[in-house]
Amino acid sequence: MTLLQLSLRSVVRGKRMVFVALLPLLVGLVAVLLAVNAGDTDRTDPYGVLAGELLLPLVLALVALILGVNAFGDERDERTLGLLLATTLSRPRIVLTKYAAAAAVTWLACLPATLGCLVLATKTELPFGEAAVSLLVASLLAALAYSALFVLLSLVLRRAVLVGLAYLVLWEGLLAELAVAFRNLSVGAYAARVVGAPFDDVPFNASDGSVVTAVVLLVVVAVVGVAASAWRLPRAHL
Amino acid sequence: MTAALQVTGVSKWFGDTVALSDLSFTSAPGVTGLLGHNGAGKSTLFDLLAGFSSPSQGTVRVLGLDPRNDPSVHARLGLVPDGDGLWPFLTARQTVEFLARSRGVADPARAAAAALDTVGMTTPADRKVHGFSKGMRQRVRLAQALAHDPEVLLLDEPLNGLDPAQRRADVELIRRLGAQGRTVLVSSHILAEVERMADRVLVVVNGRLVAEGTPAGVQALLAQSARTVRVETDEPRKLAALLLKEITVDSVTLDTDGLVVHTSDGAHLSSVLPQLAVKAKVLLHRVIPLGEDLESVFTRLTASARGAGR
Repeated sequence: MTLLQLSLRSVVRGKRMVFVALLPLLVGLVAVLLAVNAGDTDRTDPYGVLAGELLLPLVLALVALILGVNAFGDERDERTLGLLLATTLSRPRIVLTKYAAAAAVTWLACLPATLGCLVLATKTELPFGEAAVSLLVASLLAALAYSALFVLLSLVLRRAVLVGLAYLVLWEGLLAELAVAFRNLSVGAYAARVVGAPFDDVPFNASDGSVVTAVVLLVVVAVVGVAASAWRLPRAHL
Repeated sequence: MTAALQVTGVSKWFGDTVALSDLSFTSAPGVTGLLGHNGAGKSTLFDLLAGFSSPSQGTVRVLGLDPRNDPSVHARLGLVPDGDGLWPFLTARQTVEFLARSRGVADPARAAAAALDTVGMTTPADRKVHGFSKGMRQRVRLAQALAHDPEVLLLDEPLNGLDPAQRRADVELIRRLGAQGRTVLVSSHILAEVERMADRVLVVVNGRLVAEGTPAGVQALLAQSARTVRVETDEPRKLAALLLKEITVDSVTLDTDGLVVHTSDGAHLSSVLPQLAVKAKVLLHRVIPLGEDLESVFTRLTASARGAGR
């Protein structure tokens, strides 16, 4: 048993994994059904809506929330943090490993939905290779950014699940829908911008600016979030 | 040789709450008992010693290192934290092995097996911790603290939740660990428990160190102090009259089904009360020490400590 194995075991156990696995599976199924029932007409819109507006900012964000918040939330609730910290493991390494486990499982759990969306993408006029790379990269970056945010949140607040949910629904959901200014402060919108890379004109809500900007900002969110968590862990009064 | 644990002028406060106040002590090899009621600051002190938080004032050194900035201290330090936390999805062996590996043990599998054997957990070692009783969990927690053969052991209420037989076994084990020359700091809120393990006792009240000495010395200090005992008997009046003749009894108050005795010497009262009852042929239903709990005894000790020039 290593720290990484412990972290992975900790992430994938329990009833919440059922929800975490079923939700993307359902989305994947819907995507495949849409693809099967599609005629020869342009189906760009369903792909964009599903991948850019449902999969990343909602489904993957929820999965990241549940797994990210519990990376340290479980340690706190089960009072094992004292044991984990009573080791010579460096605190940044503990944070990085737990974060990596949460982000990786988030991305993998969402893979059925991601692949389902790619099946749907074959029914569009988009170049498939480009669409596939965009979506896979976007989902990976979104998993990294969201997980970093939610791991940090759980080290700062006790009610991290509720606050995280409120953030997703109100900030990323509502405000980003309402005003472009807010959209440029939303992880989901930047992830959507990456999904929208192959489109000439992105047919769903996404951030302004270039794809490169979006990629850089998602990476920055992930790095800053993890760094802040590493700083925070020894100071968190859990 | 410098002491393994050096706590110098340490205070710790959380907002307006003072958890530790100007605490200083140095450890010696062997078992030191940390006696204090719940909330006295024992766990706060353990957190500081383990490097989980920084003192608001003063310095903490463990094996000469600042545990706050140097997690490497955990290679030579064994900790049983407060509570009964364990990863429910791991077996006892996986738990101890993981923690031994995470403290740089060269052969964690062998270290885990040896430690689990020491605490008598070899048979259930490959079962998931999830179904363990509180006593078994505490065993595993103790085993992980021993697996890397540390020079210093910090045990926060390690006997909580154990049945009497387990308690006896663990008291023995802790004594043995101390006799091997390790520095063991073990906290408890039960004096009798500390007495059986420790060569030296630190008494902490409301975050202050109020007494320090051999268990016998601290025991004497506690016995001398006044206490209040409630006696339920079939003939309260008769017993009250007899008790008032005792020189150590300050006052007796009668109430509906018993009497409340204030005494200046609790130890004397407990020896004289049965004798009186037998002599007077009075039945004692119950004898309940009131205000004899550590908290009030400690409060009194604090008051006397302050009177002595604090």
